[in-house]
Amino acid sequence: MKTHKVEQLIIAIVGFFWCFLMWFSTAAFSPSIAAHYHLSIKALGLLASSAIWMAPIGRIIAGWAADRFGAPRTFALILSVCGAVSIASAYTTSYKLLFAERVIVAIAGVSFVVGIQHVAQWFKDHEIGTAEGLFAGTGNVGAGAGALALPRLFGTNYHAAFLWLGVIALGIAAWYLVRGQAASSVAQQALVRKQSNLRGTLFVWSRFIAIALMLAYAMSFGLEIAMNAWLPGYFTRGFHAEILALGFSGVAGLQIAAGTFAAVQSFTASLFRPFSGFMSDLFQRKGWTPLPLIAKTLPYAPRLHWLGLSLILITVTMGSLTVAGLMGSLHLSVLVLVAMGVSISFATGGTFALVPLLFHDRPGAAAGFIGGVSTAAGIVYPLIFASGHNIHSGYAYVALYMFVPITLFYFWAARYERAPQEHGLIEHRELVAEAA
Amino acid sequence: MQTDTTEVIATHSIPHEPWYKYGVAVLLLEMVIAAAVCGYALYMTFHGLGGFPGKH
Repeated sequence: MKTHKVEQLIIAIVGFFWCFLMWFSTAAFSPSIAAHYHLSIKALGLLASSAIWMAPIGRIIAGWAADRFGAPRTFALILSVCGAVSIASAYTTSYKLLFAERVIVAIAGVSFVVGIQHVAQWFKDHEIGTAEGLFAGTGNVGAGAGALALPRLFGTNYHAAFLWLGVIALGIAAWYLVRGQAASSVAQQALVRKQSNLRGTLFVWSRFIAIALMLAYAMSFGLEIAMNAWLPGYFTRGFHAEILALGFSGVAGLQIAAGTFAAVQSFTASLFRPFSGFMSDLFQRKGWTPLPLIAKTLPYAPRLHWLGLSLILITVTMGSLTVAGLMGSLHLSVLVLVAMGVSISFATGGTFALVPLLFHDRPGAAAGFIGGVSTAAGIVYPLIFASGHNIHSGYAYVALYMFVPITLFYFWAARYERAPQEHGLIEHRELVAEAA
Repeated sequence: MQTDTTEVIATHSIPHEPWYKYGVAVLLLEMVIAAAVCGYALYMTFHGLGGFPGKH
C-alpha cells in the first residue's frame, strides 16, 4: 500500500484528537450526569478523578504494545474498545455500571504514547520535534474542544453524545487499521518489535536520562493536568474579593471567572506545544547550546538545551505565581499563568522531541514510561498546594523543593557527551550490550 | 567525540521537505487561535462580561 508520512501523521492526529474527546467527554457532561443520578459532591469528585486512573499503567502497556504489534493495530484496538463501551454507556440506566463503563472509556487517554511511537517511526531526526509537536498539540485540543462543543451540540443529552462519540470512534478505528502503517520500513518495524521485551523495558526504566525526562514531563504535563483541577478553586478562594469587584456575583459568576482564568493555562499549554517542537528543531538546526553542564556535542544536544531552558522557565513562573498572589494582584497572576502555560508547552513539546531520538529502537516503551508514570504527578501537586498555611505559597514550595531538584537532576543526567542511554541505575554490561 | 560533532553539523545542513512549511503554518495558526481566544476570554472576564466562549 502506497502512503506518505504526512498521511500517517494525519491519521495519528485524528485518532488522538478523538481519543482525547472521549477521554474528557464524561467531565463535559458531569453536571447533567450528577443531576440525573442525584450525585453528591463526593461522588462527582470521584467521577471527575476516574478519568486519570488508567493513565499511568495503561500508557506503559500501550507503549509496549505499540512496539510489539505496531501502532495501527494498537490504536485501532483502543478506539474499538473505547468506542464500543461508549456506545454501551449511552444505553445504561444504572449509575454504577455507567461509572465502570466511563472508566473503561477513559482508557482512550493512553493512546497518546501509541501516536508518539507511530510518528517517531515515520519522521526523520531533524523534523521530529515539529511532527511530534503537531501530533500532541493538535490532538490535545480534543480535550478543550470537547468541553466547549459537546454541551453546545448535545445540551444535557449525554446519552446521544456518548453514542455518537462511540460510533465515530469505530469508524476512525477502521480507517486507522486500513490506512495506517507501523513504520516507514519493514526493517525498522522488525527492529522495534525485536526490542520489545522485558529486558528492553528494564533498560529504558533504569536509564538516568529516561528518569530525568519522566520527571521533566511530570514537571510539565503533570503540572498542566494538576492545574486544570486546582486553579478554579484557587481563584475562587484566593481572589474572591477581586473577582466580585469585576462585577461577577453568586456562585455561578465566580465559577465563570475562575474557570476562565484556569482555562487560559490549559489552552496555551496545548496550543503552543507544536511551536515548542518547532523550537526544538530550530535549536537543533542552529546548533544552540547555551546552558552549562548539559552535553554540547551529542547529535541532539541542542534539543537537550531547549528542554533545560523550558524547565528553568517553569520554575521561575511557579515562583512568580506565588509572588503575584501574595501581592494580591489578580491581573498579574493571570499574566503569569499565561506565561506558565507557554512554559509548560515548551517542556512537553521539548520532552517528546527528544524521546524518539534517545530511544530509537524502543520508542513505545520509552514513551509509555515517560508519558505514563509522570501523570501520577497530577495527583501530588494539588495536595501540596492545599497543605500550605497560605493558598498562594504552595507554588513556591513546589518550585523550590521539587522543581529545582528535578531540573538539577536533568542537567546532571544530560551531561554525558556520548550515549547518555548507557548510564543508569543498573550498570549491567549484558543488559546494556543486549539493549544497545 | 568527532563522530558526534560531525553528525550535528550534518543535521544542520539537511534541507526541509515540502510538508514542513505547511506544518509550521498550522502551528502558527494554532498559536494565533490560542492568543485570540485567551485575549477575548480575559477581556470579557476583566470587564465582568463573561468568560470563555460559551460560558457567559
